[in-house]
Amino acid sequence: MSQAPTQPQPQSEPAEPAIEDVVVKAMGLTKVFKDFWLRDKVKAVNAIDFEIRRGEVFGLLGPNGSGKSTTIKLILGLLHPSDGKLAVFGNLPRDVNTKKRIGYLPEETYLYKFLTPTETLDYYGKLFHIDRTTRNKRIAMLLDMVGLDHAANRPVGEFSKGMMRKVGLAQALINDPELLILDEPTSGMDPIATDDVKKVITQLRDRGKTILLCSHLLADVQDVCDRVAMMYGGKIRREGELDGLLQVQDKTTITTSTLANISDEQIIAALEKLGVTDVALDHPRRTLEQVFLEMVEEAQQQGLQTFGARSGRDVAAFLQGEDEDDQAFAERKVEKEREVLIDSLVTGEQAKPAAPESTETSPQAGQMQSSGSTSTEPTTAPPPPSETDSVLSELTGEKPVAPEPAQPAANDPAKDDKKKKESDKEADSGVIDDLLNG
Amino acid sequence: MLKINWKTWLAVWVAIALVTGGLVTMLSLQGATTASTWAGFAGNLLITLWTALGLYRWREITLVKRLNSFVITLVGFGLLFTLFYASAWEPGWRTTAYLAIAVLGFLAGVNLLRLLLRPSHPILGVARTTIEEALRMGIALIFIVGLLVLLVMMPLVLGSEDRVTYMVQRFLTYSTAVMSALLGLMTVLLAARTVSLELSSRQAHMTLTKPLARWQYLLGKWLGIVMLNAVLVAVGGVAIYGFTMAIAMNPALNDLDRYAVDREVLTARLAIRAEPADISWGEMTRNVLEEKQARDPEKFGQVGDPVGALPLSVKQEIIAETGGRFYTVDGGASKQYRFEGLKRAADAAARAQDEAREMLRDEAGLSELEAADVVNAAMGRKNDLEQETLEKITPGQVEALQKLLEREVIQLELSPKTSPRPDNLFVEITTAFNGQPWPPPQSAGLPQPRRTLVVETKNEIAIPAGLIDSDGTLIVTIGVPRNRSDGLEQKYVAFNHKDAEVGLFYRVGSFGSNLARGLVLIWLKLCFFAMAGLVAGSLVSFPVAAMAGLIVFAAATFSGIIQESLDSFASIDQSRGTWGAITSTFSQFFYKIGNGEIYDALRVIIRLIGESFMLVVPSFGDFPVADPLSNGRAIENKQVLNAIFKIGLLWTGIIGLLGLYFFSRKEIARVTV
Repeated sequence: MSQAPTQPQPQSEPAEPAIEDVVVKAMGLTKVFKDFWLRDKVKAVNAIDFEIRRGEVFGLLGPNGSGKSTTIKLILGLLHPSDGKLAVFGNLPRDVNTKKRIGYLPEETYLYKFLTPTETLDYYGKLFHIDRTTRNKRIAMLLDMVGLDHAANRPVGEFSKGMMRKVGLAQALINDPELLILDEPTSGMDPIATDDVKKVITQLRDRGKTILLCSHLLADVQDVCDRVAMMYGGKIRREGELDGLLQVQDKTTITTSTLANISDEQIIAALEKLGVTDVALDHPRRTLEQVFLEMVEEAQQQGLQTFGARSGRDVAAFLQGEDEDDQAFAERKVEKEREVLIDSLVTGEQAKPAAPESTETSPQAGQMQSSGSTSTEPTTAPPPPSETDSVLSELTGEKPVAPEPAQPAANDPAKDDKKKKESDKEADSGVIDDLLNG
Repeated sequence: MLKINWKTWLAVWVAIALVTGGLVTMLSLQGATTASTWAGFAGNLLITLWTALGLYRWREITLVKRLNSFVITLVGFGLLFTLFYASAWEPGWRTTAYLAIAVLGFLAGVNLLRLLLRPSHPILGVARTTIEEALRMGIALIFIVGLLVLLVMMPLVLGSEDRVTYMVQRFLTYSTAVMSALLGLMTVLLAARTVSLELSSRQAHMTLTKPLARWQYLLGKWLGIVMLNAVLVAVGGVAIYGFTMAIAMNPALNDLDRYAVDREVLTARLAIRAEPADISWGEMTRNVLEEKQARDPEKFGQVGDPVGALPLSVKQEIIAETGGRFYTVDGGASKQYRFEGLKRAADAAARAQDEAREMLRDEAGLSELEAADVVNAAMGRKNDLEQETLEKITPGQVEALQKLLEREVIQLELSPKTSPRPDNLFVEITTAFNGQPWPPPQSAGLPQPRRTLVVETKNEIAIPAGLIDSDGTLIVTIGVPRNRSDGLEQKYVAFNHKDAEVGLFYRVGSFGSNLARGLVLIWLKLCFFAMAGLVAGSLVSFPVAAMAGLIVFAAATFSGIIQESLDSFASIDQSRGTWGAITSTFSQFFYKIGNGEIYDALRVIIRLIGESFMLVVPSFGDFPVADPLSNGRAIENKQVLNAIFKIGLLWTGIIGLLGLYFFSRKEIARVTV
């Protein structure tokens, strides 16, 4: 079973990117920590060179203590390089004007426990000189996006780790940053929230923003990164395009729904008839993540209350490059609430799987197909389609990425994936039918 | 149970308010004051309970929250007025009322700060968050509650004093000291905590990666603390003022007590030192020197020798002797002391006399000349008045006249001492001002009445300001009769007991404005403590920063005492400037080591270390608050300006810039490998 790279390669790599396309450039960057007697104690970062280009998602990987966090702190100006050069947007990292363009989510969320999420975001908004009107608008959108609008006026000190993380994510986005630095962004988040984060990353990347991602969760990195650098012992050991690093040659995976009245032997025989040998047949299991996502979706459809964060919201309009005004935002919220209400009234029908209306695929899906592999992931009951997309597309002026369910909590990329897989599955079933009948 | 939502709650609230308002208006229009008071009280009580319910159940709703803060303020004032109407201005109620004003003032002040800090600027953002931290983490709360409890309890503790003067003085001394100490501690700890904890628990990682310069961060923190302090000082000031006034309303022991409270404590007076009337200080000193030289040429040198060559101790002896002689009056003799710069008091007195003449003309129907005669007679400048004139004036007008002429008084402070004998507990003197015996003899030919002064105590003598020359000069003649009225001989009376000198006080302002200036001084000191705490917190961890801040706090607060004890610990010759002092200290050190006096040598070094430490700590002893306030001494505007410059700009600025220099070079993150 091979996994397909889910990320497309945005464009063919330029041999030597123009200066203005390099967001972060490090040359011989070194950080040595000294002990009390000023003797060299630890070479946390040892003469590394790398550059992060505009519009890419750059993953910084490595085991604990490999120098990732130190590198990030150097980029942020929290630490000063012992040697070498480091430029962020062509400036020194500690330059105030550099910091204006950066959003940062630290590895742990260090918030003022006595402030509410609204006040927290207001505080960070002020630090960016964002005027009050814009600030208030963005705060409302971000809180809605991370699903904390219902907890907007509770002190952050009462929050769970994951909820704090979401406030942290929201504050990192308040200035609509050009460079977003995420240190372990999904730690402490549930799978839905993790998907939300990936969705934000993808959307920002699509708008030409640059993202530096540092994570242990390699699956997350693999899902979103364009390029990665792997560190060990303060040095970069591997660096390059994710596709190039991951592609496995000479293997194809076929996925289909259960074929109750066709035995494994029949399939193998059919394939052998086509000249395909060396076939292995497997019945995939569902992953725990999928079961989990299903459970949450079900609970939300039954209208169960949670005091925790709600997941699966849309990415804030200002981050999508849209200048959504208050009224449109409010209207959209009302619209969503109305839909939730209708949904809760017709939950019975909603719970049943429905065929997706659209077979239009997401960029990821397109990429997957073009890369020639298909997913082996089993399907779950797909959520119903929704009118939210039309509302969204009206607002954003874009065609919806994928049909989204009516539930506000159900329009996350996991669902997109599922629907996409559903359509993939249909397509694949068609192929297999042909094969069998052929 | 009845199910209501917040809108119903609001409707009921409005209904109660309207009914109460209507009822109170109606009843008071009908003249039923008591009933109206009770109706108001009941309505307020009901609305308080209803408000509490709203706060408990719908506090999440912004509108309810806003309304409630408004209502609490309103109800507070309602209760306040109810109390005022029901209490007939009794001191007890007034204290409560002032307390309520203080609490409401605090709420209003905090909201004002939030309003001021609303604009979108990073510095204001940091300031706002610091204030919220202080308020919500309860750091400020514990101090506010402590301050209010202490202030409330203080009048009760002081209740046993019989003289109102002492009660007021003790309250003023303790309350300003308690307020300075509590707010100072709060400021130091809060400042040290806010930065050091943000650095160690890494909120600073988020804040300082935003477009915020380090100086903006420090300035924002400082601004937040300083603004909060301004509100707290103002609130404390209101409480102190209210309680002082309430205490002063207690029945006085006697007229002297009442006079002392009104004219010597609850006022703002400036002091002038006496100068010799007909001879200069230099001449007086030379006289003493020459006399001594004639008697003891070995010690004081030959007559005509230059004074500069004499050792310091001998010089000091001569100066002390000169002062002693100047302040000593022998029995059967008199001495003149000259005071200048009383123009303001003289002008005010002239205005009062003008008013008095006008009053006599308009109300008693006296002619211009007659009115002038009456005023002059009242001032002791004329002895006999026409019977005809006297008959025109009613006793009420005499009283009004006296009041007008006594409106402007200046006070002569005398601390006499005399030959030490057990029965010399008081002395008798006569006084004349600008050559006019005062109090004047009862009638021509009779001897001038004597004044009795208690020895080794500050005695204050009231002088009508009308006796001052129009150019602001007053010459005080103090005569010491050879024998007291009881026949005891008075050999001499010296008027320089302890630090006291022959001093004159004149009123330059009210107690309220004086208190306000005192509060500004307290606030300025807090501004410095805030910066010291912040700088400490930005460079070292919280416990160390708090400790350092507290040491600076203690050193600055007790700078006067510390300097005194340093002086007595080991002597340093300071006559040759700082470098001279340092070199002479070292030569002393080695000299003592050479003589085997190791302990004494160490003392010299310890003194030097102590001196250097005190050099970097501002001496807040130069800007006293409690002492002038409790003695009715004016805290002058120029003193406040001086403090703004020295404490607010110089000391705070220096320590701030120094801290910023290191902080902006500091790496915010720590080693995590």
